Parts: sequence; structure tokens; C-alpha cells
Amino acid sequence: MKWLRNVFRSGQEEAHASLRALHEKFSDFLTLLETNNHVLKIISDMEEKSQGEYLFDINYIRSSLAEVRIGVREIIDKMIALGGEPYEALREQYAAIDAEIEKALPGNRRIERDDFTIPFDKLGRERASSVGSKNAQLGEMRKLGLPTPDGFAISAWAYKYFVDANSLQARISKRIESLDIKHYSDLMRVSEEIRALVVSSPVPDELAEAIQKSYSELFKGTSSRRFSLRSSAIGEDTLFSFAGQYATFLNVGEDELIARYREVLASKFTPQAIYYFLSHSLTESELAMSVGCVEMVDAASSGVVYTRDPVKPENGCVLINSIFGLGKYLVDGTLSPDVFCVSRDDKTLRESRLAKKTVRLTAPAQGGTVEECVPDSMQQTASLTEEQATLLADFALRLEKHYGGPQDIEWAIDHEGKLFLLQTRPLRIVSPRTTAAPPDVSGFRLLMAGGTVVCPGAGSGPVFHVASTQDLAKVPDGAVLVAPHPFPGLITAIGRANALVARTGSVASHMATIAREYCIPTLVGLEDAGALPAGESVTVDATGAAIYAGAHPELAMARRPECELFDDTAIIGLLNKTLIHISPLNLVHPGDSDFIPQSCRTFHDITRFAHQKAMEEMFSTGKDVKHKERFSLRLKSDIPLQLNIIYVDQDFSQYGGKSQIGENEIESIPMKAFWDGFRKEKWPVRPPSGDFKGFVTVMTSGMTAQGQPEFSENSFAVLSKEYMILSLRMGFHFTTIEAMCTQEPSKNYIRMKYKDGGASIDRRVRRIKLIVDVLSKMGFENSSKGDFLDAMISYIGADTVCEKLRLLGRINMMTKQLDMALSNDAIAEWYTRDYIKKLGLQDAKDGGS
Amino acid sequence: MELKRAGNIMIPLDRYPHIPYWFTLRQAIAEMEKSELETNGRKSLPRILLVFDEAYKLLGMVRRRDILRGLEPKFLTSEPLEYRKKLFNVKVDPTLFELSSEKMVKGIREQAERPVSEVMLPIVATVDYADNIIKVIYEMVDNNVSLLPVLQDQKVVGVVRSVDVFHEAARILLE
Repeated sequence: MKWLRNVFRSGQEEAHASLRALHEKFSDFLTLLETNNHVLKIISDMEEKSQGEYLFDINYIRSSLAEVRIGVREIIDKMIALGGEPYEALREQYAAIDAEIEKALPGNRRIERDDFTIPFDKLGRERASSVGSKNAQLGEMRKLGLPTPDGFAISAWAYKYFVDANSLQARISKRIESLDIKHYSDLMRVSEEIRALVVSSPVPDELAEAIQKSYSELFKGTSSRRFSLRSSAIGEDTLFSFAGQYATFLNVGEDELIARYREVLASKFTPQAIYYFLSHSLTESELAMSVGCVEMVDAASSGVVYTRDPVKPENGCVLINSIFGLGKYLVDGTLSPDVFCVSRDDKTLRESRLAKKTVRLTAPAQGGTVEECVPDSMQQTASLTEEQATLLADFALRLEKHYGGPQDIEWAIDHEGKLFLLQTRPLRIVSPRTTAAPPDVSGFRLLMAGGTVVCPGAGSGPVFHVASTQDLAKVPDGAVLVAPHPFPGLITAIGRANALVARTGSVASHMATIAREYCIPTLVGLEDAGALPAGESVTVDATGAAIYAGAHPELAMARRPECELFDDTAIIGLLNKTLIHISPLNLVHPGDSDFIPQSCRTFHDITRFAHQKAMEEMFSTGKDVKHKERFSLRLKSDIPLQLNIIYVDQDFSQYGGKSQIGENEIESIPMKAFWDGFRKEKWPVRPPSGDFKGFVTVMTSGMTAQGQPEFSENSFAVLSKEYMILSLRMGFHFTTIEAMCTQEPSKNYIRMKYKDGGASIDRRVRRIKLIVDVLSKMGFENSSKGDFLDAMISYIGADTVCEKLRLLGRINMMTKQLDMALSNDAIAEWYTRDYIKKLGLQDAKDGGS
Repeated sequence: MELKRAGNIMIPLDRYPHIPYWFTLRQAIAEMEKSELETNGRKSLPRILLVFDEAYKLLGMVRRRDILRGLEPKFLTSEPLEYRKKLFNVKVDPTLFELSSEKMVKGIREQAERPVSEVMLPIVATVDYADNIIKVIYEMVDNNVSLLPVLQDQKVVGVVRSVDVFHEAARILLE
């Protein structure tokens, strides 16, 4: 007997190991779903931000990206834990995608070694990385032979030298990283701390000496010894305008040189400057500060010239703004300038609008700047002669030609009438955006309101109800699509839709991503949308979360800018560049032959792939669990199915030897729902044998029943509170139903596989077609082959999951051996209609009752 | 002239409508109304359905009149036959018809949900695939049935209807 005990014990151990393995896999599976959900949420948030309606900064991009990376890696780990080696390829795919993202991000550019100071004569635009754009362009303009003041640049290398000598970088970075730019008080505090830090740090001797030396050389043999110190941050004036962010000190004397230099460096950390570079995806480490030491131009008048009118670029004008004195009062908005429009073609003055210029800023001999009154007689005279305007326009257009784009140029004219160009940078032309008041909808008839805005905007068209992929081909151009939920297949019709409405769904669904990519006004979570009258014209105001009767193209027009909010500002550009490798979905249909790890081109693809495959792996794991008879509970029911239940979220030992549970003891939301439906349709009860007296049963050969006695194999269920995988042997057909039912729609799904049968193949195929038709009405995506069906629905709310599971329960019972009766297509069609009606799935348009 | 055998004139089982015993009278009616049988270019509706059990064993058959009988509303079947006859005695005066059509339809609908197993008839005779037509005619007449399951190796492979036998008789006699 000992050997028998041993055999039993070893069996027991194996069973325990098997149960443990199942628990572990299930836990991996749950983690994967959870992480997938989390990652999708972040991606969705990033996409939302990329629409340009929200405030965010580079720290947001970095932290979101970090979270997505951690999440995707975790998903891959769990996928490999679930399915093993075949999924290792995901790691490579991840590495390739991540490398692309890394390329898109601004790296921490190194500051190249250079001289501490460099005279303008030796500069050109190619030196911008060393001396900043402002300095480099002054050198470039000199090369072109344009008049500019003399001077020298104090390089970025000098900045680095100063920062390193005082160990400032780490201290500054620490303060900036902890910053939330939405809180201005935070911004103020950090700014003050950093500036105090910079200003109190000594400039190393060798640097101070180099600056002094260049200064002496600059003013060798000139009487004027005054200069201005201007910031020229690296990266400034190129892609990002930085206009007016950093300090400039005018009319500075030799004794102030070093102290002012340090103050310019500190100005990099004003609240507005910190805000600017945080919101423009620039990190302080890459924004080394170079400073220009520029000979002071004692300006009689000065101003700005735009080679095009930035708001009406097509009017063919060079636009000159001009005031008396130093240009500061123009750029800081103290004064309204004279405006001169010079024709781009023949450089003649087309128009001049003179302003009253009551004051001017001057640079007195003792240093600094002084405001003085403009004599009354001068106040309304032109601050610029026609000749000067023409000359200025000529210089400006030469610069535009040289740089290949519209320019924004600062200039000054000294008391001798000599013109100087002080700075040039690209001019950003802003196309006017409609800023019309919110459209008036008071006269419209409201059909329904509510839901979640997935993509803003508005669109009109006839209502077209889409229940499943089969309906998609029939979608007319310009329709308002109404779907039970935003299922992926909709993508094929979205190009023809003017708006999309779904009864369920969230911003995290795959479809939401696509709707935004296509800029289709989309509302989801509008429960009553099914009641929208088919064929009737309606207007979906996604922005306003409302649906109105009739077509209102003016509303769609008014809302247009909202769905085309894509902005090209730098930070959004960067986010979009990053998102290219994160959010687009290339893998859509699991049935496609390229639904493989190697086809994953974005993080979203990886999550989609893993999500799908994880479900499949869990499915087969649950199905093939070994020794399940040793740790399962038999379901007590009058339905003669031998159903064994394994809980993956309960400890088997807690049952204390119990081996059966009642139907009302099922502790699984999806299983309860399914079983409810299953019980609703009665299991066929054989009349008492007496009633069949005289009935001889005769075996049948026309049937293809594989000779297996009924219920030879036990049905089983692997359950947790929110999950079920149920494998039923319903006489001659097998069905497996898997479902996840949580409070997070993006985690939820139902999948049913259905195969075999006892009747001849044509009748089995008819039954599958009937089920496909019924499930399509329920919003399932079906793929069938012969008498095999694989149906799936996902991204649905918990209530919907339960409702559909109840229906699946009924359908499974109703189709038990139905194949036998489906001797021809006409009868199959009759049953299809009958079942759709019985299950309450008929469309409103099919005529109720 | 060689006599045809049951196997030659039968309708193979996969072409003949049949249903499981727990299906309702309503479903049986649909089955009969929607099935068209075509033999030698002639179309007809089936008058009889075969009934199988869950193990695909032939259990019985159900004729139109069995179904019709099964549809009789409960409130009538519970009354004695004499009473029922009187109800429909409209020869005297049609307006004396005592039942509202609404009540009738409701009663019929209820009854239509009964399983066919409640009205089906047992299989009283079968013929073998190799049996000749004389044997088939004999079994039909002797058992007063118009449809016989055809067995081959003790398994049902098809059915022979009286109409098919009749056509065969006509061919022999009229040609």
C-alpha cells in the first residue's frame, strides 16, 4: 500500500505545483492588463497634450516617456513570462523604437571647448553653438558687409568654465527639476534662489582677465568707451525666439563689465525665462549662455524691421517700426512706433503712419540710460527719413535672401545718421486663427447631450448605425457614424464619416487615438446614442458634447479650428516627434499575417500585440491546466453539465475539503452573468422514460458525431472575481468564453470560441453563420472559418460586459444542437431573425416588438 | 423490369429536415414551412419531421396534424369533447362563435412553446436500404404510415415517403 500512497502524494505535489503555476500566470496576466491600461492612459494623455490646448513642459514629456518606457518593458516581461521564448523578439523591437525616440529628444548637448572671448570679425553663423545666435549673426552680417557695431562674444565655454568653477550645474538642475511651472510662486522662488546663487559666485580670474583683454582691444584708439552687454543664449533666436527673455545692459562702462556679465548669466533664470525654456522643451543644461559685448550705438532713432507683415504676409510690404532714441522703448512696448510700409518690389515707401512719440531713451556719457522728453515740435515728425527707410528695407531684404526666410531685425541710427543693424533672427509668421465667439446653438433642437469628448469639433450628416464590421462597407459618405462601442474595425469607415458617436468607450481606446489622428469629431459614452433615428440628418457637436437635429454646417465650420488645433510651437513639435514612435497603431487585426512582434513599430503596437497575445496565452493556459480535478470545485446545478471551477484568486485550502459549490455561491462577476443567461434558457429535459414508451431509438449514420459519448470530458471554469475562462462541452459543440469585467473599460473584454457540432458540416456552418449574425448585432468582431468561430469585443463598461455575457449564456443554450435543425438557408435565416428578436437585439429600424 | 430499392428512392438524411425533441412546436412549424424538398425536379414541403435525441438517435416523428393537435389552446383541451364540438358549431349561426380571435391566438401561441416530444409519434417501422419497393409499400400499408426511416447497418441514412413510392409505382405502371 505504501507505493500507492507515494503515487498519490507525488500526484498531490504535482497538482499543487500546477495550481501554483496557474496562479502565477494569472497574476502575470493581471499585471500585464493593468500595465497596458496604465500605459494607454499616459499615451492618450500625451496625445491630448499634443493637440495644443494644455500647458506642459519638457519635464512632462520626460516623465511621461519614462512611465511609458517602464510600462512597456513590464508588459514585455510579463508577456514572456506568460508565453515564453516566442515573445523575446519584443525586446529587440522595443530597443529599436526606443532608440528612435532617443534621437527625437533633445540630448544634453555638450559645450565644445573654445576661446573665452571671440571678436565679431571672426564670427559667422556657424559659430552659433559656441557664441549663441545673436552674436553669431552679428558676425555673419559683418561678413556680408552690412553695417554693425563692433564687439566681441564671451563664449559658452566661458559660461561652462564659470559654472564648473563654482559647481553650479547640479545645484541649479536640482532646483529646476522639482519645479511645477503651473505654480508661479514656485517659479518665483526657484528663480530667486538660482539668481542669487549665480550672482554670488565669483568669476574665475583667468576668465575675468580674458574679458578685460578683449575689452581693451575693442576700444583701442576710440574715444567712446561705452558698450552694451547682451545675452546670446545657445539655441536662442533660432527655432525658439526667446525674444526679450534675457537681460541686456545698455551703456555700460569698463568698471561694471564683470559684474554685469554675471548678471546677464543670472538673467537666464528669471521666472519668465525659466518658464519659457521649460515650456519650449529646452533644458537649462543645453542652454549655455554666451554674452555679447557690443559697442554702444548712441541712437537718434531705432526700431525693428520685419521683412514681411507677420499677420498679413501676402501684402508685399517690408514693415518698419521706428521711435526716437534707444530701441528698448519699442520692444518693451513703452511707445507706439511710427510704422513705415516699404514695397518689397521696388523698395519705395508705400505708407507711413506716424505716432506721437513723447519720450525717448538716451545713453548719457556717465552711463546707464535716461528717459527724456521729445521736444513738442518733434513728437509727431517721422523718426525715419524715406531714404533711411528705403536703405533699411534694402538691408533687410538682403538678409532675408541670405537666410532664406523672413527676418526680424533690430536697427539703430546714430546722431551722424549712420545706420547699424544690431540683430537679426527668423520671423515667425502666424496665420490668423479664427477666434470667433462660441457658436450660437440656441435655435437648434437638442436631441441628446453628454458623453466624453474624444476629439473636439462638430460634424453633420445622416445617422448611420454600425453594429459590426459587416456594416462598415455600407457607410455612406458624410455619415454620422453611431456605434455601440468604438471597435477597431471602424477605422475602415472613418474616412467617410463626418462625426463618430459611440454608446460606450473612453479616451484610452484604440479608436479614440485614430479618431484624433483623423480629426473626426467624436463623442463616446453617450448611452442613448442607439436611439438616434437612422438616416436622419443630425449635427454632432463633440466640443459641446451635444447632438442636434438637422444639419448645421455653420456649427461645424465654427468648430473647425478646434479640431485643427495642432500647433507648431517647439514643445508641441517635440511631443509630436516623440509620439510618432509611441502612439500610432499599425497592428490592428490579430488575424492578419503581420500581427507579429517584428511588425511593432511603436510602443502602442507592442502593447496592442502583447494585450492580444496575453489573452490567448491565458486562454490556453487555463484550458490545459493539469491535475485540475484535484483542486477544483464541482458546480451543483440541475443543468447536467459536469462543471469544475478553479479559482485563481482564492486559496484552495480554504475550502476545507469542500468539493462542491452551489450556483449562488459563484464568486465571479462575469461567470455569474453568464450562468444567469445560461439558466434562463432551459436545458432540454427528457420526458420521463415512461412517456417514451414504445419509442425505439435508432442510431444515425448521417451525423458526424465523433462517436464521443456526451459529456465525456468535464467542462471547467477558471475564475477570479473579475475574470473567467469557461470551457463548455455542450453535447456536440465546444465553446470557450473568456471575459474580464472590471471598472476600467479599457481592461475589459469578452472572447468566445465556438466549434464543432453533431450535424453535417453544412448545418454546422449555418449555425456558425447564425451566431455570427447574432453576435454582430451585439457589437462583436467575428472571425469564422467553417464551423469555427472566434468572436471578440473589448473596451466596454462592466455593465455592458455582464449584459453581453448573459446574452452569450442564452445563445449557448439556444444553439445547443441547433445545427441539427438547420437543413437549409431559409430555415437558418428564420432562426436568425427569431433569435435576434428573442434576445432583444433587433434595431429600432427593424421594427420593434 | 428491375424493381428499385429503398436506398434508390429515399431522401438522404442530410437533406431531410429534423429537429431535437426539445424544440418547440413553433420551431417545428418553421422547419416545415421553410424546408423545400426537391426530388426529380418536383418541389414539395415536408409533411413529417424526424425527431432526434441529444445523442443523435432517432426518437420519433411528428406530422402536421400532430402539431395542429398540439396547438389546441389549453382552455379547450381541458373541456370535454362534446363541449368543444359545440363551440365550433357555427352552421346554425356564424355569429354564435363564442371565442375571441385574440384569446384563440394567445392560446395557440402558448401551446406553440411546447416541445415536440409531447406530440411526436414513435417510429413503428423501418425499412432496410436494400429492401425493394414492394417491401416498402407493404410496411407503409401495414403500419398505416406515410414515411419510413431507411436503415443501413442499423443506422438511419434517409427516409422514404409514400409520395416517392407512389411516383415509383406510377413509373412502373404508366410507362
